[in-house]
Amino acid sequence: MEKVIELKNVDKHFGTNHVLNKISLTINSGQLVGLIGPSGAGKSTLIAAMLGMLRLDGGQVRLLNSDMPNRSALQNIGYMAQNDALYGNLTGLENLSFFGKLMGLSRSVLTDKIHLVSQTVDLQDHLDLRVNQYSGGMKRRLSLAIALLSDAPLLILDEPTVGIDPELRIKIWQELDKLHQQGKTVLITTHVMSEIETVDRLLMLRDGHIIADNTPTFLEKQYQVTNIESVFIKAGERYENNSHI
Amino acid sequence: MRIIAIFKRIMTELRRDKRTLAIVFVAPLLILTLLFAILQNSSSVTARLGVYQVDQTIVNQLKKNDNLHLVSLKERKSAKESLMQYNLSAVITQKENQLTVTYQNADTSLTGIVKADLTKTVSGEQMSKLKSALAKVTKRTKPGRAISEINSGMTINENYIYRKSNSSLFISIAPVMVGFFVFFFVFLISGISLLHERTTGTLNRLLISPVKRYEIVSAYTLAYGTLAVLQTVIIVSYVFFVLGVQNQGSFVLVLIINIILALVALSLGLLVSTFAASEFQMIQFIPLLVVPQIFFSGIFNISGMNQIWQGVAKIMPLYYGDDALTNVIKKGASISGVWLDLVVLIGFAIILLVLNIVGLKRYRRV
Repeated sequence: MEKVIELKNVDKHFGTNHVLNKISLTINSGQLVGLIGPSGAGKSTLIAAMLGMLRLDGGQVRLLNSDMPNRSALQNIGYMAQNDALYGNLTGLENLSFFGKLMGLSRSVLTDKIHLVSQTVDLQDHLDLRVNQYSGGMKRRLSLAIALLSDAPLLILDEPTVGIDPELRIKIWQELDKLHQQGKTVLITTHVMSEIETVDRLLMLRDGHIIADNTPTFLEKQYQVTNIESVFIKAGERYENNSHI
Repeated sequence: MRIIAIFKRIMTELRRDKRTLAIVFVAPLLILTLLFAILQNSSSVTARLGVYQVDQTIVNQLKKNDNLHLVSLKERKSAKESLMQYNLSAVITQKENQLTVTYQNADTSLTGIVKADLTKTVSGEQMSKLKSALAKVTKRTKPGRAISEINSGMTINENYIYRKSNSSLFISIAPVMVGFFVFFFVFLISGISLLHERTTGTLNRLLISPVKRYEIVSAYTLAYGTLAVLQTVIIVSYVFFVLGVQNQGSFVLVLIINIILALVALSLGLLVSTFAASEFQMIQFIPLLVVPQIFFSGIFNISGMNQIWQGVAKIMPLYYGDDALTNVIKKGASISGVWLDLVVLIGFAIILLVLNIVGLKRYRRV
């Protein structure tokens, strides 16, 4: 199986705060990977490190067979940031078309793609509205649509379902499952534990360490609980106890 | 083409920001109009006037004017040298009945003072000569001689070191203001615009795409360059055609100088924005980076300052921009007269733009 993301001893400090503590991690092609952890655990920092947006204190990152940082590798990544990095003065359509052009999509492909992704996130009726007038959930959906635009083999989505109502969240997950079945690699961070049950592999990040890494069912068995939320709490407790010894 | 995509995006955003557009295009006109109104009147300043071999009666008459300070010159020198050496506004020399006045004319309000007083004095002198001549006519009844005496009244021959003018103080600082407004607004708006991209996270998002760093900087340059061209055309047209400042040089050259100046302002604004965490912090750079440049840009004459301060002036882009604008607008210089200023300005712009492209490495290392 092809390695899509490969981290070796990735290390990063912010001042005295050891955000990423020699993290090594391999994600293979076609996996749907969930990354969870308490806020401040370093999830977004880990993603920034993968994308080559961070000056590392140590370690290497390989993404889609290129050593990061690498500009052209970014062509093959659909990325959705945790904060909605959108242009408020532009309409939804203008935002989509701008980011599409940055990804190098041709005009004809872009029109079809915009049509497609805006339906996926249920924004097709609001494309002519300025983003300033969007609700929080609509902005998230637009960010997700932008990530899906380029049909990239690797999707990295930072908290894609925050502020999105349950009905649409289910729809988005259905879409992610579909992309997964098409063979795309998806890395997703989230706070919503219940939605992460369906992933192939669950990574738990705490204090710059990956403290759990397996399938959700395996982890539930290991900690003798019935849902991921309990796994999250138990794993956290065990980590705290161990680190205090 | 990614540059075009970013360029179009910035232009769309600008077009929708009606308030900013209003400020950029209307505020300079408003301020210039105010300045025009205020500076039409010369203030009560004293002009230093040099006299060389001038009739004592005329000198005595001139001394009666409170706003003239007379300096008698002993050695024969060119007018230009004397003006420089004694910091004079004008020099008068006499050859028989011909007075030759050379105005320095850098500060046109001083020229106005000397001119008014001189005309008054000389016409007063001629009046008294006329009276005495008339008296002689009635006494001796020898009309031929009397008439020649009347005709021999003083004539004034005027020279100007700088442009021949009867202009106000406004006209002398108009070129400086034109350059300043373009510099100030382009600096502020481009800087804040990039800062806004940084704080909203769109710059980061932009960099997580295959876009090249130079493409971002180029697009910004293109977009704000366009804004600067529009702004310059409006300001310069207003100053020339509405406020009636005479442009001695080429209109196109004035535009070119302003656009190059705007390029420096743009690249400086973009660079400085990386050191600001908020729009407010960006505003805080104005007293540090923009205000001192006004002082050294030609509103005040810096040639009298000591070497250190003259050196300080030479690291300021606005110094070169205004030097070029003043030379073109007031003295009618062509490109051959201002090319050095333009080269320096282009040098500033290139260095700053390269620093910007390198500076983006802070966000993405490739």
